[in-house]
Amino acid sequence: MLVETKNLVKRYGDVLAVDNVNLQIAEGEIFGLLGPNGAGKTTIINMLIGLTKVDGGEIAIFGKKVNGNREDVSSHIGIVPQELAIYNDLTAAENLAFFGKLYGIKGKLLQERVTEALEFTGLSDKRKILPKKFSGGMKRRLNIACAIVHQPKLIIMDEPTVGIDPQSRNHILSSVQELHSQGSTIIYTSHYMEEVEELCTRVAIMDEGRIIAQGNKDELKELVSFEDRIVVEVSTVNFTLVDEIKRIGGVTDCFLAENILTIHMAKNSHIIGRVVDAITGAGTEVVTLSAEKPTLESVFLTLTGKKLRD
Amino acid sequence: MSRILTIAKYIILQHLRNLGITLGQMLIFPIVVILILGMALSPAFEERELDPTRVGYLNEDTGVMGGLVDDFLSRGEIAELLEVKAVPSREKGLELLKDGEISALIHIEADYSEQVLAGNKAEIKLTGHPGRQLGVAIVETIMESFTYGGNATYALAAMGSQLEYAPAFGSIEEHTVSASGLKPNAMGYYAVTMLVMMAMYGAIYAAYDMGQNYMEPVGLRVMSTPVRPWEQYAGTVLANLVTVYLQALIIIAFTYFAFDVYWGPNLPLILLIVFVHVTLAVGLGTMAVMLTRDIARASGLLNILVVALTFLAGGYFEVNLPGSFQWGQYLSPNFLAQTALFNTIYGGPRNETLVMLAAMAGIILVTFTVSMLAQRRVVQ
Repeated sequence: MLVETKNLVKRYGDVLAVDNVNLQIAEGEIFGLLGPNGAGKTTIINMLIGLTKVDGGEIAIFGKKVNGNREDVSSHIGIVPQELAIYNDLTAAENLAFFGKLYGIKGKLLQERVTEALEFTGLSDKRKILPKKFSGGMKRRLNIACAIVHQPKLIIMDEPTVGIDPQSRNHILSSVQELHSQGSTIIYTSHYMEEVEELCTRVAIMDEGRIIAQGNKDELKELVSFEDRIVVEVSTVNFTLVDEIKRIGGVTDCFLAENILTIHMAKNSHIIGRVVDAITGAGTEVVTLSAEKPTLESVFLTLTGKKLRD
Repeated sequence: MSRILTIAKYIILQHLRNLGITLGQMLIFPIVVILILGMALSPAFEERELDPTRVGYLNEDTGVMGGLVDDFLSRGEIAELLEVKAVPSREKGLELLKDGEISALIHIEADYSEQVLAGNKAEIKLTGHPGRQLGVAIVETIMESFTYGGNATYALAAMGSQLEYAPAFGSIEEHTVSASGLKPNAMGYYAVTMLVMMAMYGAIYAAYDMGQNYMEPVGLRVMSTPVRPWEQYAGTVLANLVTVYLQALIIIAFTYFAFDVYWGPNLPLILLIVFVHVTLAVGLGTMAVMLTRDIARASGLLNILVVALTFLAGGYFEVNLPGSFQWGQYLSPNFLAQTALFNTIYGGPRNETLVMLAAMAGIILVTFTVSMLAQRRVVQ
């Protein structure tokens, strides 16, 4: 395992911020830490990189305990903090050169790495510009460039897309996939379910300092796949139709909002044909029909009773 | 070491880019204040013509030497400097001295002539008022010139010459109390006080940079690199020392060349005092931000503090605290630095300068110790 935590604990006074967290992250994964704000994601990240003291448990990265090997371990980690962590009075290239030097890169190699990081994040033409003149999205990209200038084995991204425009968001998400394809292991925290679902090979869902579920996306969805759901747009509204559908064996619930019918049914009950027959038999027509699969959002909702962005 | 230098280099680069502070507040502002106050208050610093020093005179010697002292003190040139008041007894003279009626008492004992003529050690007794050092120094100088003349006359007499007070004119050496040598003019005064104030504003640089290290995401990112905490701390302190010290040197050089400010004969000691003061300011700024854990609050506090400390030290104009409260000025690090600088420039007591430096070193030790202890609490 590239990263392994055992019974990790962090307390702030009486608050248990991280409660016996066990993580195993293999080399080459994009590992998602999904949870609402305050779930403990950033605290875990800070403990991984040695910024926050560990109150209990152990962390091993690259097979070495972080405690006692911080310098060695941190030299192979790149961190993209949740908040922008760049110097506004240093140009983009100077920001990268500064962090590159702190990781021990010098001379021609440093210049090459700076150029590569700027190219990777699409900031080559901004290398001599001060970040205070950047858009929010460009600052986010520079925030990422600073984390990869030393080409680390492990990249930790803590909510890297918070508060940016869709174009920059897409750029960052494709950058993550490209870094992954180049062999980097990535830990990606977010409370945006769609991002984690799109990017991550494995996911840990967190709430109130605890890991409540962990696995690949299919494994997680399987946890809540005890029913199927279809959504049907009908041509005309007919309130007796709802009772009609509820009487079909296997249907567990049905409700109508405007001209959209949402129908819950027992898993693998194969009754869509009977539902369509009931709709047409009631003198209305099916405009569209879609089968909805469980999402990580619904997994979280089911496991915690809360929405991710509560 | 290379990481410390890297951190320092890039912080200094940021200082240089921040022209509003680096150029405006730290250089142009103090130079303009020196110019304005130096010109506006120049008359207040000009040396006034000295009034004659009032001196008590008791001559119990009826011999030839006593007569010579009488003659000497009654000469016109002496009368311009001394207002001699004869006293009937030593007790009465000491009483007048105690009451501040006179600045010094000259006492010629009855056997003075006898002792001189016998070739024995003879003394003119001079008792001075402790609070009137300038007046006492004038009387002492005048009487020394008499005794030198007297000794020369005695030497001539011993060789067979007629006994006469030899250097009838020009026996008093002229000791000019020159403004440029012993006391600052307005420009010189404000060059020192504004230099000290500017260096003190360096505390705000330190508060910002150190706060950024421990309270801002970019500083935490630096912490997540292989840099050791002490390297980050040392690099930041080094950057602040270099920036503020260079600014101080620019002010010294500018005032020297542009305003003709006198910086005294011992430039290395001046530079050392300024460096110690800059270090103190950086320590103070570091401590402020570590204790408040808030850059804005620390900067606001320091902005007020620098003005208050400058005022207390007499940086804007002379502050005369009542006698029992005079120690209050020593609470201001500005006062310590100013005292050390003025002593060095204008020939004040060296011991006092060393005491001021020692006190500043003590404050530096306290500020950095407190800030390092507080820094350990910041990272939890």
